[in-house]
Order: sequence, then structure tokens, then C-alpha cells
Amino acid sequence: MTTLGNGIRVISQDLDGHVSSLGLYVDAGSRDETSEVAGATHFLEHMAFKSTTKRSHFMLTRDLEKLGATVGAAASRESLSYTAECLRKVVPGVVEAIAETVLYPRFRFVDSEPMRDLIEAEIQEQKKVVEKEVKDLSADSQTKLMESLHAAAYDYRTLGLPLVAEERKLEMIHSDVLTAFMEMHFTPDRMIFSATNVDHQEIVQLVDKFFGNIQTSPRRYVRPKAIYTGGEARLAGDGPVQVAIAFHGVPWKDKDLIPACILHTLLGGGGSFSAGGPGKGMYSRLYTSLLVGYPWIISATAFNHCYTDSGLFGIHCSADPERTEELLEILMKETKSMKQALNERAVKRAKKMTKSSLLMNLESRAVVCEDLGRQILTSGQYLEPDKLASMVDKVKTEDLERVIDRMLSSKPTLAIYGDHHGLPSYTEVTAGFKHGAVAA
Amino acid sequence: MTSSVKLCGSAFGYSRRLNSLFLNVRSSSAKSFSSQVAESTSTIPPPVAPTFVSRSPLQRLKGFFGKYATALPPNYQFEPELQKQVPTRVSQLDNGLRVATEYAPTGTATLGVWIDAGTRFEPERVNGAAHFLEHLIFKGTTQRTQHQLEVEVEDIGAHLNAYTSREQTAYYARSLKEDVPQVLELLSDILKNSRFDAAAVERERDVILREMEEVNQQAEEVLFDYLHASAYQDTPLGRTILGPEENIRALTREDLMEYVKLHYKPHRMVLSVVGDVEHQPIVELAKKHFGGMEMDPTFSGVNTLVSASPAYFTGSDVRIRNDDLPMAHFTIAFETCGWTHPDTVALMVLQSLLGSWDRSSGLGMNTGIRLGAAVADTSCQSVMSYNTTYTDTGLFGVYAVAEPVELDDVGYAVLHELVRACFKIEEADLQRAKVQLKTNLLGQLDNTTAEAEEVGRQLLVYGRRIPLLEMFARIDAVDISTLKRVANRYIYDRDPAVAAMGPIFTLPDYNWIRRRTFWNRY
Repeated sequence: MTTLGNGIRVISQDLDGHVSSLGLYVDAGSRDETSEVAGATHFLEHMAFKSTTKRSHFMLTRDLEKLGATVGAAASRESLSYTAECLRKVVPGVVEAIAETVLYPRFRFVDSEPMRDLIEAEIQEQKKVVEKEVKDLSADSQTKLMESLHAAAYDYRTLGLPLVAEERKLEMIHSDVLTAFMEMHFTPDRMIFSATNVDHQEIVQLVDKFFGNIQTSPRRYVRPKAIYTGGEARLAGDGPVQVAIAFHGVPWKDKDLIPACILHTLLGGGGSFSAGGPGKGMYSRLYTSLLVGYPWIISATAFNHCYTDSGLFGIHCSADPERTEELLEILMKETKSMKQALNERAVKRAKKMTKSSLLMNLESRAVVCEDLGRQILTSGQYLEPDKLASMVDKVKTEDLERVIDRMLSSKPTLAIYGDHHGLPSYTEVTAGFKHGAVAA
Repeated sequence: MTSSVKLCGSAFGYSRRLNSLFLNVRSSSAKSFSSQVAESTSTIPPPVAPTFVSRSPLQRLKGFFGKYATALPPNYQFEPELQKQVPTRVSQLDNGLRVATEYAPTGTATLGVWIDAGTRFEPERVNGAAHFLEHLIFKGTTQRTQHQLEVEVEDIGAHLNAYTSREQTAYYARSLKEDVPQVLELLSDILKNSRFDAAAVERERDVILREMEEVNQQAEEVLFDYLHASAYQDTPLGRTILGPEENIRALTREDLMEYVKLHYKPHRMVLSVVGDVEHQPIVELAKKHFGGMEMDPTFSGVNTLVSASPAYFTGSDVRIRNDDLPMAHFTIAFETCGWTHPDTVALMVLQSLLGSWDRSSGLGMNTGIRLGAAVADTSCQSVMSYNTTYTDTGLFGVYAVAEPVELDDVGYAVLHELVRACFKIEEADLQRAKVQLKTNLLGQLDNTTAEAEEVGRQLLVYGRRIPLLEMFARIDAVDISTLKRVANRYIYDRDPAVAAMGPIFTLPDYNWIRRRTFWNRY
């Protein structure tokens, strides 16, 4: 890893492959949106690799196609990423394209009225695409449920802000909004360039060439701290009922991160009907206790969302809508009795599975590239896979018990999609957990 | 420079020789192949008349260059990057099973058995047996019960998986490198000693029917099944992988055992291991666990089966109209050639030239993919060109998804772009197509599983692993005249197979489509 003069960090690893993965990560996501710029991150994702001050969208698209590069952008709650895959020899051209789209998008430098019309036309064009995507996503009940779960857990602030732009906010987006967000957040000290299958010296020089001349803004942005509040969200809808129960989990930079990941594997879960043979977690806790025991449960999976300063850990279930009440009851019981799942054999298996899935995922150059960027973004340092694997080995059952206690001591977050007629109130659910925690 | 580089360097000087290398030829004596490795392929003498491979359709092919591609320019530079490719080492056991390994410093490995057996080798009565087997093979052996097998795999954090296609079946596992011997033994156990318990057969019927429901919800899967059923009507390649519902309900333990007995022969299997492993120890392990599999002295292979029951293509049209669905799906396909035909590389380039396009990508008309730019103005949501290859035939075509209006415009654009390749291809488009094809070929091998699958597949269909350097040279040897010749041969004025589904009331009839496979230019 190298830090350039203006603060941009470059990290790379050469795996001796023929294809390079490149990624520019900006430490800003939907949690950093203020009400004036709501929806900006999601929209920026779609404005990536469009017209810049140096090349029109047409030219940029054609040039990238000529290089054979595949580019993409993704917005998350905490970061924006611009990624590319290409052959080694065309890396310079692709780094240049990433720099152009990140630093010099045309909408940021509107200097005349005719230009403004052009830009707004391009933005309108993308709005149609985003609108369709938003529509598709809001038809997807699981995405909606997870959005509501975050909103409830963080009281509609920071991590609880919507990741998917809201339709009514979309109307208000124009070039000034995007520019304002970029000026605030796209500063070199909050950018990380990660790459796999490149020569480190070469990539440092390239990043220096294309990103070296931008300066850190004098205003220093202080990210509002995410405060976990717990809460509930109930959405009405048809089809199978979905319930998610979450607790305050662990942030990235936490000594309990590894135990929490192992617990996540241990609970595991899956769908009652899913592809794949042995090894997918058929003997994980949620599989054996929920999916095998109750044939009307369609799926049960554990989730572990980690962020820089907070996290959500919980279980998501979908089932026959006729039995919503029963499902909620079972799920509460399951969550309270997590500790019973910690027998020696299960813990040993979960550790081994965590380790193997870690190493298997890191076979991929694209995953390594993302992992480099994300680790630097969240903790400022990079842990080698071997180091992580040995950390997994060291975890004991007591560590897992501690993590469970820690999580269950927080207020629960509950999200239900479906028909919630006659379900217990949030107060009742909370009371149920208090009682359970004492009994355990 | 490894010797695999020499192989392709010299091969380009001798066109006939290269041609023979591309064929799926096996030595008549299994022993002479044992312990030979792929790097030394260049020292293997040209194969003498094989006794067990029916070569008649393949022998007719003459010369690779000149007719099938232009020669590379005299100053052609091989990509220095590609010379670093880790060689695939191949050995053959006495019973004919091939063991291929490739090293990757990952701490993990993917190991699997790829078998030259798939749906098309089933008699019609037991259509679905190959896939049924894939399910049942994880349900216990004479050494392990189903429960023991599952727990064993999960305890070491390994993953076991399988798939069945029309011509191939694969059973593979991923694990940490220290568990490779154990997983290898387990793989051999399920292949050799599966019990196919009658009770398990009964239980699995419902699971497969459920899987069928899931598959039937994926428009693309369903449409391609219809396309095969129509294009290869009355031949084994037209049948579906899952088989009809009656078969799923009726197949017996004996049917499955019969299929295993007929097709799971060591000489039709490749054990492919990619990851943090060394060749020799794997070969030793393979000898120990797979060496006992009974050799089939006839060594009769896929080519015999295919010759006995070849796939005949029929220009045809199948439409499943359902106006309640939101999107219309249709595909237009032409017949091409088999795996080892010299035109395959040109067809890969042609497919890359046509490319794919999706409205949601936001590229719109700005894309250099002509097909995409042509449909951007229509009701089309996405187009995708494809190039599916089998032993003796192949399908090349375009798949389109569109709003249910003005499908004639979409159909016109698609056919216009297909036929355009017969007349005009721009140099810039060809260059883009080549670089994208190369990037895709390299890019998709992003983990040990993808790599192991590529090794297994290539050994089955080509009889060897084609070095990247050679593959790239073959791609570079394709020029505009080659592409035009190939497009004229397979597309121009040919009967396509058409499959359409959904609200397709605006899609013109077959004769309209057939008329647009040629241009009247005067």
C-alpha cells in the first residue's frame, strides 16, 4: 500500500493472472446524504462512465469497448465504488477512464446554458433507467424488508437512510445536487484505489498521474455516528410472509468481528428448496431447527451486516402467510436459544466452514480487489487471509457466547412483510426478549 | 518458454498437423498415454489410425488455414503474458481415466470428475435418467449413509456439487488443500459405490418435480428447451435434461443402474484438479481410488454413440403464446458445427462481434455493438447472441426480450444484423470483438472451480487442454473474409429454428423470418 501526496491510498496485489481488476472506492454512501442531496449516491452509480469534460458518453463507451474493459459502479450505505476488469496491458487506459468519470464528470463543470441543456438531457435519460430500477426493487419484497429493517434499527438516520433512491426524491435530482455531493465527499483522502494483477509501482504511477493533482478540500467532513435504536417496521403485502429480527451486531473494527462471522456461519440456514449439494450448510442450526422441523417455512437465513461503526445481526425468514403468528413465536424462541446451538461439534464445523469459504472466495481476483479496498476503507489496514484464518482458529465457544450476550442485550429490531393482523406489538416482543435473556 | 509454446509455434507452420491436434483423438493403447503430461504434447508422434474413434465425419476436414482462417502475419507477436500460463499436466491411468491437474497458489482446490455422458445418450424411455442420477448419487454408498456423507462434507467445510447437461455430467467439490485426499476418496466412493436405494429413488421424485417447477419459471431455460425440441426434433438432442414428468415418476433404480453401467466408464472420465496441489500425489491417489474401476476393453466413446444416433437440425418454429406475461421472449437460431470443427473459433469471434446489449445498462445507442444500437430504438429490453456447441452440431443465434409491441421491428433488426455479417464487417468492430472475446475467455477463469471445469470440458471435447497462447493465435488468425465465409455458410439463406414465448402476437410468421435470412441486392 502506498499513500500519495494528496492522501489517496493505493493498494494492490499481483496474483499473476492475465486479467486485472481495478476499483476506486470513495468513503461516502447513502448514510452521508443530507435531505438536500437524498438519492445522490444511487444516482451517481448510474451516472458513472457517462459524459466527462474530456470525452462524451459515446466516445467513452466506444473507447472502453475497444480496450475490452468491463466497467461498473455500485453504491452502498457507506461507500461508492467504480470498478473495472480488463487485460493487463490496457490498465493505463482504464485507470484514465475511471479518473475521468470520478473527477471530471461533465455535470460537475457546467459553464454555459447550452451545455446545461445537454447535461440535463443526459440526466433525464438516466432518470428513466433509475426509475425503472426503483420500481423493480420496490416490487421485490425482500429488498423492501431489509431497507425497512435498517430504517427501524437506526431511526431513519445514518445507516437507516434509504439506499435505493425514493421515487419522489428522484424528481429533485439535477446536476447541482450531484455536484454538491461530490464536492463534499470526493476528496482524495477519502479515496482508495485497489487493484489486483498489476505491478504496484506501475499502478502507483498511474494513479499519481491521473488523481495526483486534486487537492483535499479545506472543509473536513465528519461522518455522523450511527446510533442503533432498535424499532419495528411493518409492511403490508401479499404472498409469503417475511419476518426479520435483528440485534445490534458488530462493526468491522471490532474484536468480536470474527466470532460474529463464525456465529453467522453456525446459524447458516437457506431455502427449503435450494440448489447445491452437501456443503451448503445442511447441518447449520437454522436448517436443522427451522427448515427441517417446520415444512411450511420456505427459507430461514442468518445475516450479518457490518459497517464501520455499527452492525446488524439477525435472522430472516419467509413462510406460509397463514402461520405468521406461529412463525414470529418460533423465530423469537430460536433467537433466544441461540446459545444452545453452541455444541463443540457445531462450533468446530462453523470455524472450518468460515475458513474454507474465506479462502475459496479469495481465489477470485475480483473478490480480492474488493476485499483490499473494503478493508482499507473500513479499518485502514489490510489483514492477509492467513492471518484471518489463524484468527478464526483461535476463536472459542466462550467468544461466541459473549457475542450472543452482547447482541441480545440490545433492543431488538423487527421487520414484518405480509399480513400482520393479530400479531403481538413491539412492546410485547421486546418484553419477551427481556424475559428470555434472563432465563438463558 | 515452456514447450507448450513451441507446440503452437510449430503447429502454425504445419496446417495439417494442427488440424489433427484439434481433433478428439485418443491413442489405441491406453498404456502409451499413461504418465505423459501435457507439456510434452509436442513430442507425441501424430496419432496412428485409432481403432475406437469413429473419425469419418472429422477425417473429411482438410487443412486448417487457407480455407478456415488466414495465416498469421509473419511478424506476429505472441503475447508474452500468456507464456506464463501454468501448464495443465495430464496422466492416464491403465483403465483409461485421465487425471489432469493445474497448480494455483490458493490454499484451496476444486476437484471433480467430468464425464462424457449426458441427456442425449439416454434412450427416450428413460429420458431424465442422467439428471435423476445426479440427484441420487449424493444419497449414500455402500461405505457411507447419506447422513454420514453430508456430515463429513460439512465438517471439513467442503462443497459438493454436480450438474448434468445434454452431453456432459460433472461431480465436483471444493475444499481446503489439506482435505483434498479425503474429498477425492469421497468422490470415488459416490461414483463407484452409490447404492441408489429404492426408497431414496421414491423420495427424490418429488424433489426433482419441484426443481422442474423452478426451472419452468425461468423463461430463458424454458425457451431454450423449446428451441432444442424444435430444432432437433425426433433426435436425442431435442429432449430436455429433466425429462418429462411421466419419466420422473416412473424411472426405476434399475434404469439408473443401467445408465451408470453403460456410460460411467473410466475412459470417458476426466478427473480434473485445480488448486494448491501437485500432480504426482494426485495421480497416486487417483490410482488408489479410481484405478479399481473396471476398464471397458472396447473403449467405445462418444463418437460411436453420436454416429449411431446423430442430431439432425430441422428449420422450424415453435410458439407458446401467453398474453398475460409482461415480456415477449423469442430466439432465432441457425445450425453450426461441432466442437472440433475448424470453424468454431471463427464462430466464437462472430458471437463476440454480435455481442449482447441490455437497456438497463444505460449505454443505449452509444454502444459499439451494432446489434444493440439497432434494437435500442425498438421495444427491445435486451438482446444476447449465443453460440452453443455439441459433438456434431451447434446452435448460433440471438435471444431477444421485448415489450409486446412491434416485435417485427425487433425481429427485423436482429435478422438484419445477423445477415449483415455475410456482407460487411468493419475492421474496428472485428478488433473490438476479438479483444472482448479474449478478455472474456481469460476473465471467466476467475477461480479454481471455473478453471477445473474448463480443464475437464476441454479434455472431453478436444482431447487436450488448448494453451491460451494457441487459442489467442487462433483468434488472431480470424479475419474479415473468414468471418464472412462462416456467416455465409451458416446463416445466409438457411432455415433457422425459431422459438417464441409470451405475448408474441406481433411477431411475424416463419416465412417472414426466413425471407430475411438473405438480402436481395441489386
